[in-house]
Amino acid sequence: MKDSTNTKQLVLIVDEATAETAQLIKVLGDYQIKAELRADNEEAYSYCVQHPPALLICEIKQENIDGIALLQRLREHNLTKSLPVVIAARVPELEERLKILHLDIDDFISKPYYPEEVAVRVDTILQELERHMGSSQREHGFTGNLEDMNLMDLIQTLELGGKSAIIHMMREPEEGHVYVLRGEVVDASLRDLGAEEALQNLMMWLHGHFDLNMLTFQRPRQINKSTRDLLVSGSQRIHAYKERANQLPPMDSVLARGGNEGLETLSDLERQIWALLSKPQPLRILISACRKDELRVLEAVQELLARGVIVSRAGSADSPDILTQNIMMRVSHAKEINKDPYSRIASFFKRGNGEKKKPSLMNEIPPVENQLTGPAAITQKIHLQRGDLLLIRQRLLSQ
Amino acid sequence: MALSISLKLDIIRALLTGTAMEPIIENLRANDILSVHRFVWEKTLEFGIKTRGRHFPQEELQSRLRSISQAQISRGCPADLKNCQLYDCYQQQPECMRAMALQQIEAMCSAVQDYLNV
Amino acid sequence: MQPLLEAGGIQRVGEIVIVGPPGAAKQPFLSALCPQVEITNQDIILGYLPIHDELMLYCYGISYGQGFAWDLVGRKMLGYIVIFDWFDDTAFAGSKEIVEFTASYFSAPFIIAADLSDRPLPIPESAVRPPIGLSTMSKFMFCRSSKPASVRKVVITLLDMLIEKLE
Repeated sequence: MKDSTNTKQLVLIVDEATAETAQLIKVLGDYQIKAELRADNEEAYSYCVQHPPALLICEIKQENIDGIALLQRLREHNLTKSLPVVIAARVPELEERLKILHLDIDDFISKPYYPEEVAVRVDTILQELERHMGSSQREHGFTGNLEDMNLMDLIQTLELGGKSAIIHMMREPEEGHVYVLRGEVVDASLRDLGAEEALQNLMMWLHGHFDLNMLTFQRPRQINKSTRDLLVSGSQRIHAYKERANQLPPMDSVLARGGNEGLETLSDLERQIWALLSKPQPLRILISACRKDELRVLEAVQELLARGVIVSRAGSADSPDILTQNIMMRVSHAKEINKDPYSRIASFFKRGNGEKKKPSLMNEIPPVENQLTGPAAITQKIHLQRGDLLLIRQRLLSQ
Repeated sequence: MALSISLKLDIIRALLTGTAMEPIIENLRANDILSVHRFVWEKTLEFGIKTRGRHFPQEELQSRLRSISQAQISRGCPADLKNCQLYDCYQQQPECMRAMALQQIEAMCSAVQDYLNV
Repeated sequence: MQPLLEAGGIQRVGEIVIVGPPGAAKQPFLSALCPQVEITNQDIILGYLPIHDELMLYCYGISYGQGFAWDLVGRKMLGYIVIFDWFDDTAFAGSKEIVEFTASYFSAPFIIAADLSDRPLPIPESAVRPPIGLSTMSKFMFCRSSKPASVRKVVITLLDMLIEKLE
């Protein structure tokens, strides 16, 4: 018995009943893949549109089989337009090869074949599909770390794909939401800030966690600026925020009250910070606790530190409260299930929402990865995001 | 069998410069010859489409390939086939297959050179 | 002096490698691509292409066989370009040797760029436009190392392969 996860998946073979196909059905059975045979175009078409199989293995030309015509019809039907197809045939004539290239096939196996090889390839395709379907049905989105991918990156990605999503942002001890409809940011919520201010503040969250749910929703538009404008101003604010933060102690350092001089001259915000420091707090928590525009809070903290009204102390703050612990736990859980946000994101957009993946052409050339033979084959990690690559491309084009 | 990139590079250079393909492929094994045949075939179509348009006439190329196939049969095909089946003969008649594949590859190279005016 | 990204920025850096046999036009290629080019004391050519305050493309130009931290750069490079003189048989043989090494060790996409310099293309231009696919991760194309537009086209092709890979 072979190890397979495709229990009870049904595959339709469109070919003549021969010893070869009988053997293939038997071997597929060893992989827990049930297979049925149809030796006629019409029968195969009716079968597929009535009970779409998990995958179709199709001959191109036999007595009652015209595989290309069958595939063309199946691709026009709503139920079967994304049906995975493996062509198993003699190497076709010139015209047929050209036609096949346009039929979105998933694999091509030339006859005579080894049934074992066909079964392995079919099993691989089915497992890949199952993995994809499983993840998108379970989550309809992805989670990730804001240090790897911040809100700007997420919005840019959604904008490029014209996608709709609600992004749930978590940064201890706070949470916020951003609503993106067909690539446009329509609303955001954080504390009691207005939508645009909430968005601007959430854009500056460069650590913490996000949970992106792909869905369409009904929500009155609260943000009227174009996404492009929002991204530009967000980028400027992040820059200003980081510049300011670089002049302050680290975010985890604890701030406490310093001297009492000049308290009467404090602004409202500065007075609020003073009040919040009745108990020493990490800078990160203090910023959230102020519930104001974070750039302004940083400016006020810098001013208070410069005047000695507050000081940065070594040591740690008190234990986090229940809310903080809860969020930390969720973040840690999400991190655990999401080690590689980029591959998750890439796979989501690649075959998401019923879209047909690009066909792997009948060309037998394997990707270079499969040819790695060196003693220390090095796997590539792309550190830039798609948006960055597009920017570089744009820059080169515009020169 | 996947061809190495450097072998593909050799083939591309031969196609683009009109130099002989034989020295590149004469020592390859039968299954590699088959892979070269496929690669050259793909590139022949690619160059044909690029230089003569998407629906460029392929009849001449097809008839050249078929005539090689017919000639092979007339030389006494041991498999007694009505049509020479290049890929079917890979295991049963590797030498016969090899001879025909080489001739077809040369024919395709010649077609590419026509397309490119090399 | 190496131009640094502005302090406090997000600081994203992409890296590509331009490698060729000795004598290949790596320096003209990089000079045509980058506004600033340096040659290190290990004869590695470094080109900097700033995209904006927080994003920069680093381009390394190296000769195959010279000391180069392939193990470090290879892991994070976006991709690489193998450049050689199309009219030089020895350079062509050298480029094959390079590809055999790089394709065995790295999974990054790459372009094999046949440099024509100022000589005419010996075949119709339409035949090599768009570039010729060698595998899902590699393409062959002609370029003119001294012409910025031609060099940019090579890099754009590499970027397109990467973008497609991410999709």
